[in-house]
Amino acid sequence: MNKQEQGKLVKACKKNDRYAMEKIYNTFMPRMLAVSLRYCKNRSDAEDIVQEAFIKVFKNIKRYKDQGTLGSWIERIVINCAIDHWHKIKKTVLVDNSDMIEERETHELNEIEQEELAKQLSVEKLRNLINDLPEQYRYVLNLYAIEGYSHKEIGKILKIKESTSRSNYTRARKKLLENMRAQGIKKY
Amino acid sequence: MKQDKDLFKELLQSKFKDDTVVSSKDNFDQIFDAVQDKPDDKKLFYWYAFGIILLMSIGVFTLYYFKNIKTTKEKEVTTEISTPKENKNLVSKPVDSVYNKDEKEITVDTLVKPIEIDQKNQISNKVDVTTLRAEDEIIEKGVITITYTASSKYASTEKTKYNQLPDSSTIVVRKNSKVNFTATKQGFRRADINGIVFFNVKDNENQPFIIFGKHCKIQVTGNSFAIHSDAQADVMTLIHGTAKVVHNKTKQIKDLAPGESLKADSKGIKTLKKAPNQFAWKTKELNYDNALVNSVIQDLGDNYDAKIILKNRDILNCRYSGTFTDDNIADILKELTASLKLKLSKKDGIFLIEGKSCDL
Repeated sequence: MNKQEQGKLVKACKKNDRYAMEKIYNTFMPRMLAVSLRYCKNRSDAEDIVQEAFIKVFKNIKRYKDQGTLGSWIERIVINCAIDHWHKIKKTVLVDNSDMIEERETHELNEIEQEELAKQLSVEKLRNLINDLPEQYRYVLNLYAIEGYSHKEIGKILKIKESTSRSNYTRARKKLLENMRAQGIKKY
Repeated sequence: MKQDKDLFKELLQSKFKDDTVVSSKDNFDQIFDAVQDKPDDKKLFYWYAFGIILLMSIGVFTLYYFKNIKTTKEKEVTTEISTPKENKNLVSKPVDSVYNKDEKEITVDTLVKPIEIDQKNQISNKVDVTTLRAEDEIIEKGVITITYTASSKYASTEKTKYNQLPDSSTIVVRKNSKVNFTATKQGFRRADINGIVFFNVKDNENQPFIIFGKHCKIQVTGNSFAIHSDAQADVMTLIHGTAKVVHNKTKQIKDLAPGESLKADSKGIKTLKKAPNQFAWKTKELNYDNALVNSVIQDLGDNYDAKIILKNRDILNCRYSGTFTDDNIADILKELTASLKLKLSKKDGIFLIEGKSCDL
């Protein structure tokens, strides 16, 4: 879908055109579900998050201005819905102390290994590995490593300390890397 | 270490960049329905709110309208049947078409009788200042009362506000005066006054306008009426229209003609030959008969906000007789000082009177 086509669909959506909304939904739904599944283990919950996000998208489509792509705008809404979902289900906050993680425990990743792992691990496998992480680690990892938020921002979003976000990420990265290596069949 | 971090991020970002998952179910219908609900809800809410406000205001207006009309209609009926000729015509017409000539008289008789009774009842119900009972004089709760209080600063007509009462009569509340206006349940307009008040009463036969002073009650029909009421006496002048005055204690009744003035004190009602000087701002007439200059100056201040300074305090004890029929303060003072052989000058809007005391 090119930008012009997107612009037309958005205009039609603003006029409450069902066809245009359905077209946008069908175009972006698979991508948004994939995003949601990175945050949410449970598929039905992930689908609920996407549904809620699309309702927000169409209710607020009038506020969408052509800055950035429509896809990234919807993606941000999905992530926000996922965060809302987390706040709803959150019971305990994991507080890690980064001092406890020793430097040498961090395994280094070089370019060759990165390439190998990229080849060996399918997206599904990687997603499953991420899903195996504790809830809070998963959110911090997703927001920091994939979405590109800073620890300060994550602290605000998840209502945790910045240092907690930092240590959560260190642990999550370490654990994920270990699991990735364990899953990788061939050793370089 | 830094390189390692970047490589890890890079790996994850590249892996998930174009990741898609096909959904097993299509939720679009639910999404579309949910999107449709929102504007409808909001619109409906506004419509409901608007509807409720509209209904409430219609209700209030209808209530107000019927409350006012009810009394008017009752009075209209009384006036219609009070003339016997009209009565017979009104009643006998439908009778003609139904009964024989012989029976006509009888039917008219029987029909007229209850009307006569009605007539008596209606008359006794009609509010009149002379028939006002003690219980009528108690202001009941639940009726609208509006209070007008004038400031103690100004008296002059330029700065006086003409207030419009709910019945579209106008009033002028003078310096330090107060009026309580009440639309009573008995159907008359009641004004309780304290101080100097001028009324321009809008005539309405069905809702008499009754002014309650300290010593008497006045029913005013038609136009302008000025009254000064305080603990000592009620002084009033009728400018236009008619007025009926009833003394609270002696029950003495006096009809007032235009231009006439009255004084009602604890003893009874007295007719005044000339209009009281309190109303000069309205009547433009000041009358003095061997009066102290002190009171002349007081009246000028009260009526026209004149600022006067006397160089010699003894001048206040001079006496003056005469009439001023002009509301120009300068002219009045000129006349006054000329007759008393005093010197008048004016500076910054303040009149200065110099001269010797008259006693010497």
